[in-house]
Amino acid sequence: MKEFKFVNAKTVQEAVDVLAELGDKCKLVAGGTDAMLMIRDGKWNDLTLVNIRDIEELRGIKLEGDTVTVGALTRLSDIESSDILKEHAPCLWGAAQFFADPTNRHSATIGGNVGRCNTVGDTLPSLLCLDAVVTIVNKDGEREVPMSEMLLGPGRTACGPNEMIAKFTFKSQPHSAYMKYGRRRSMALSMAGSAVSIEVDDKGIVKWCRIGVGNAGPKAARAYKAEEAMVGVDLNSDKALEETMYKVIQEDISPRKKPRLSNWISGEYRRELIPVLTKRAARKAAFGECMLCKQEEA
Amino acid sequence: MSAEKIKVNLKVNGEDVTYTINPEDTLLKALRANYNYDVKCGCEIGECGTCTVLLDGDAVKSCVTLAAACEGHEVWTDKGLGENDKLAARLQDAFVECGSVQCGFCIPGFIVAGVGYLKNIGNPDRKMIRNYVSGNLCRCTGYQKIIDAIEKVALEMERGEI
Repeated sequence: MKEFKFVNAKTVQEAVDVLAELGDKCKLVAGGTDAMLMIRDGKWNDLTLVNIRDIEELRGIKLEGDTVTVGALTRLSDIESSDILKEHAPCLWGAAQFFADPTNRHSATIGGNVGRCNTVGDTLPSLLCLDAVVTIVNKDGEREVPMSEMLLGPGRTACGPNEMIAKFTFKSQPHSAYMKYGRRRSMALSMAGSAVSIEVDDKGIVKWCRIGVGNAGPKAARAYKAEEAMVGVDLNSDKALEETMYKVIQEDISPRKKPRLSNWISGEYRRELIPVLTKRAARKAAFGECMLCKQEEA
Repeated sequence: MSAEKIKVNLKVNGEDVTYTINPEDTLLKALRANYNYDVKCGCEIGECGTCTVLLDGDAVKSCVTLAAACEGHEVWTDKGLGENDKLAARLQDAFVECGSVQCGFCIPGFIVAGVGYLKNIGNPDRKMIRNYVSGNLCRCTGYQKIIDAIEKVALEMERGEI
């Protein structure tokens, strides 16, 4: 028997008041593309559903100086059609192009994608590589959490039961890209995804980079060892890149011997896939596109 | 003890209505319980797209939309669009002309997604149309004729015939 109650929150204040009162006895529902499945499957029950779909103040993409702010309730379709993000965070913009399908993108929000913290979440690697800062609000005020400390594990984030995600802030990074590999162009969960934000000198030698990998372990994560190893590598050289990638990123993504496997991809395949995707993403980020391996833009 | 029912006020196909629903009901369930049978129930997990409706002008999947969250919003279904909107009526005719319908179960979703495309983008570009309706599944036609129909209306729009 399903037993739910419903609260319609029209402002952030209303939402955090309900959260402060009910804590983990309530759930926020924004777009609903994931929440409705939890209800349908019976994974959620006996809860108060708090509708935050209509909170306008948490919506929108702003550029101030070189800082980009994305509201938590910004829909993926807004991100997909945003010229600001296309220029200043192409990895996030690109992730939105490959996120579920256009119809779901009209509902799904970026805050929901992070809050659910599913390892296949398409925006997570991009936010990680952008080194975004998450602003979390609660009844007493707000606090900031870096994205690298935000994700704790499957379905668990640093955002407590009395809190909600308000916005994401990051510096403009025009040299960034996201590569996803899924079975199909639309409505495919990523088999693996990799986002890279990079700076290279005019010869193509990497100065610094940040790498976020999705669906490699129980949660999307930064590949710190690979980031270090990439410094000084020539992006034009296939061999140098591959050696670094294959050697190092493996340690990042599967410190244990056994790689993670799931219903739709074997661990071994994923282990091979991630270095390749990262290599392509790095080239796409640095040079605009990777001629050898252009992802099909259907 | 059964869950408490709530009332939700929304505008469906241009009419102000009040539905009595369970708090956790999907928009799909609320619409079908109130005789909007043109909204089809397919996978109920947001994959197949046959339940697509226009919510404030955007095509969304009603099976993954919380009905109670639509308080004060405007919903259009395939039937309502066909009766009230010239462009949608033309698209429905185009589907018939192009032979896009076989079993027909997916068609209400495709019409609504197609109307969403024509109103928001409207470019007679097959690739863009294909991408826009990629959230809808059809197991009969192989999609070509559905794309043909939407393209046909988009071309008519470009020539200024509608």
